[in-house]
Amino acid sequence: MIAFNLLVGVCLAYVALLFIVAFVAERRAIHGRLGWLRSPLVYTLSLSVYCTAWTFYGAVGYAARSGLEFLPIYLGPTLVLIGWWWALRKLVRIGKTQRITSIADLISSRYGKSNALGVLVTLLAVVGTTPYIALQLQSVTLSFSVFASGSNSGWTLPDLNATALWVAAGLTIFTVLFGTRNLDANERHHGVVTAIAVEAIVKLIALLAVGVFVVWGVGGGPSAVAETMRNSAIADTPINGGRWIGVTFLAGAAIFTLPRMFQVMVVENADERHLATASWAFPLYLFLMSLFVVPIAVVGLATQPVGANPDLFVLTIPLSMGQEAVATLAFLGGFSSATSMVIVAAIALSTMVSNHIVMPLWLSFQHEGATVSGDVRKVVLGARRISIAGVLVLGYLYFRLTGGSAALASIGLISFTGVAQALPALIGGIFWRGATRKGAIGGLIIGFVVWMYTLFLPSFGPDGVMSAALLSEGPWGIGWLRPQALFTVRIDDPLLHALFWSMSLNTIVFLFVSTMTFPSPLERLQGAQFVNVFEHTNAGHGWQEGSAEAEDLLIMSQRILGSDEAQTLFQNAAETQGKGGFLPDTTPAFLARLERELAGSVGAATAHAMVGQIVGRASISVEDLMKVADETAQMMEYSNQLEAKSAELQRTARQLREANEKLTELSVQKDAFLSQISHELRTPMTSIRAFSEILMDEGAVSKDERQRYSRIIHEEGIRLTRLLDDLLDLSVLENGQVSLNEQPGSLRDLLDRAVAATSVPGDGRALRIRRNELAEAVPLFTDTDRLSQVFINIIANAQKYCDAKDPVLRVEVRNIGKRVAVDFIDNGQGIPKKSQAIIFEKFARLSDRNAAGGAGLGLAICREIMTKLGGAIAYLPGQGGAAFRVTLPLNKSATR
Amino acid sequence: MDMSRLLPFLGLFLMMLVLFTRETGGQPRLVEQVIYIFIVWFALIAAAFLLAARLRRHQEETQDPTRAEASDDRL
Repeated sequence: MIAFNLLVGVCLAYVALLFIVAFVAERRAIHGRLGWLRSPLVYTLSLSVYCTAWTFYGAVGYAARSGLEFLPIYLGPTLVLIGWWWALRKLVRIGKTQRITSIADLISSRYGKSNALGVLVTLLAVVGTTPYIALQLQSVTLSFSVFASGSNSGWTLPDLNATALWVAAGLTIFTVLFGTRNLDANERHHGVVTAIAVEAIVKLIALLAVGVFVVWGVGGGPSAVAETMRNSAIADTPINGGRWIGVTFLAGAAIFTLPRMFQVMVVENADERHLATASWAFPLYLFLMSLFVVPIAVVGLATQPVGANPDLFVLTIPLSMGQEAVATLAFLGGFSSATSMVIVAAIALSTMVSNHIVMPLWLSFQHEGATVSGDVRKVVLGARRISIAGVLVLGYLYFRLTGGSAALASIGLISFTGVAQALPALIGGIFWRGATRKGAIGGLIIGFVVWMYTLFLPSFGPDGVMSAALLSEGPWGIGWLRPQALFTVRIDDPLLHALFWSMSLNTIVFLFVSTMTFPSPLERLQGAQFVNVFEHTNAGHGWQEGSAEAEDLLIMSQRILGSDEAQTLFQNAAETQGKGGFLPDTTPAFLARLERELAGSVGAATAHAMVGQIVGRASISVEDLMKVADETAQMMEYSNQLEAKSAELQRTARQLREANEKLTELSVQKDAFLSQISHELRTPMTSIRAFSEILMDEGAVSKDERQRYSRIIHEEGIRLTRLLDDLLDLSVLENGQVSLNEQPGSLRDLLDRAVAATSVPGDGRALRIRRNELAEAVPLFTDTDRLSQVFINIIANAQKYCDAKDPVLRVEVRNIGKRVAVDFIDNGQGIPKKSQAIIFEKFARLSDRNAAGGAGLGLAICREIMTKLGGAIAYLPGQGGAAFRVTLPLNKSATR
Repeated sequence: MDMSRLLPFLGLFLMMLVLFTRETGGQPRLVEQVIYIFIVWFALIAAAFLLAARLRRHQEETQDPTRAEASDDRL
């Protein structure tokens, strides 16, 4: 039999190894040589703190007692990790951006940095974890006792309690040494994490070794073990469906809410992408850990004496077979499982206790406020060290009080149910912006109370904490308050009963109160940042600009972060702001950043309180609120705006395209006109020049010729003048310099005048004009000269351009609403559609038929005139010829 | 991504099947149950492994740092 001294020696050697590993890892981290320390493998292995001694010893015991029911404990995390690590990733991202130090910190920070919530979750975690720590101490002492009781070499274990005390003390020292070296949560506990990764490997190898030994060394191979399984008592244990699902849920929730899981998964996470690896690697680890549990259980039941503790089969089977090496390995595995859990849990709990209980108390006792001199770091670290010791003392006391009687597995599930109470507040907090602080507090309290009442306190057994009468009759004989049959609902299994009531009441209260209450500004701000952590990583701030006292802040920060780090932080901030020295302006952004840095050391609520003590003013600005106020609505509005803008842009583009086409065409026309007008001007000029040259040659011309030539020169001069008059006229009209000479008149008279002016006597190709003189009897009050100029122009155009054999122009007058419309419709070809848009432009000439010396200004002048007269002229398509409609306002034409 | 989200439901469903296999033909079938559970378990792990690899590749393709900055600029 292995000697006690040797066992202790092995144990100490192992612990020494862990110290060395942790020390080396710390050193490497300090020197920046992180390398494999930050690998996904180490991360995954560190997650294995999930597998405590409860797994190592307890799973076999659980299997021996109730068959396959132990499996959901490992299936739950498997299901969460294989598919829902994105939810974990969100937690990790939030943890990083908000410098979260623990699950209590996360919940407190999410709900407006409420310290009440921090305290509540801390209490929950302490109460839920203490029994679990006791369980680890118990397992280590039990495993010692196995070696002792099985010994025939003369040593007996001096005292179980003493062993537990020694173990607790040793763990305290290790945890204090490596868990409280630094304050900033950003500097991870590399030493501890690496040591835990090593322990993870040890416990896996140990359990696999025992499994292999049991199957092939004791059981006689897989088929023989299968036969043993068939005949085993376990085979008769049916699976309880309710428990199967309930425990799966609990174990899945535990991944989120167990303080130690949160510590390794979120706080110690170096890289989000490690979660992707962990999503399959950690389930694989659990798979391997569970692989030999059933074989060990059935072989243990078959080979060990009746009444042997199945929780210890992992040790007792190899021992009874004389395999001391395997047994020692198994012992080390169990030892690893227990120690790693205790170390991480102690770190996690001590962080919570110091940040949410000790520091706020200390702050409130410091009447001078946070600016007094002295190193707060010492206070924080001291608080943490004392908390670690306190947590272990609590565990030890619990172990002493319960006397190590409870079965390992049941206490584990009780603990799971306790910490699972944080789940609604946690999940609600990171996915639902409507979750409020009051809702979270309400849910947590009701869940906590129900859990205590229905599960935790009754777990001490009848007459433990609750009297047997209370358990069976209810308090004061009120039957529906019986702890294990609340509201007379009969759920036979106390665990399921408690799980059902605590979780459902917790969730209902959380949801209900959240919808009924209104979050405070800070809560809204934090809520938006947590829920939308992937959308905006730049954290909004919560401080107002002001003459905050940068020096005071520096003094305070130095005491929390250490002088070097604080000075660097302040200097960098000052540099960013473009200032020299160490004192930056206390802008909201700077305050927010400072608060986050401090939160990494002392937790969000305390950091907020400390900064608040110095800055001391309402901390949420309206802009901050505006920023977060219904971002969804903002997004929708934004997208609507975008759509509107894009539609507007399309419209503008279309208009621009049209304008461009028009401009291009106009430019072409202008070019054409310029050559035209040069031609127009040049033709008369040429003839004027030629004839005047002839006239200058006195002798060569007769009197008749001179007269003829003079007339030609005169006519050409008139033509030139007309052209220039037109141009001048148009320019005057366009510049608005024209004054209207308004006078009463009749439309018929005007038309008469126009027809008379345009009639060309003796022209064989005369334009016949059809009029309806009755309809034309419309009195007008307008500039009659200008209006008749328009009519003349239109009729003259018809004369010039109507290409019908027998040209006819119809003049139709009609009233359209309050306007009178005069249509001039000829029977020619009309104007092609593409030209209709430009005929009113200056210099527009549709053909180069040089008829009567028009320069293409007539219609442009008409349009300008009509605009001046308050009317319009437009081309009227679809009349079987060229058709123009002149409209005049009737009120103008009817007055006077 | 959606496939990965659905995987736990598939797993839960497959694991719950165990509840209904008990005592078929009057005989508890512990060995078969154990083998079944571990095969399903392993298959889930393998699926998670493949999905994680695919998701990572997908993320590296779509979310390289330059693009993340570009999207910031756009907003």
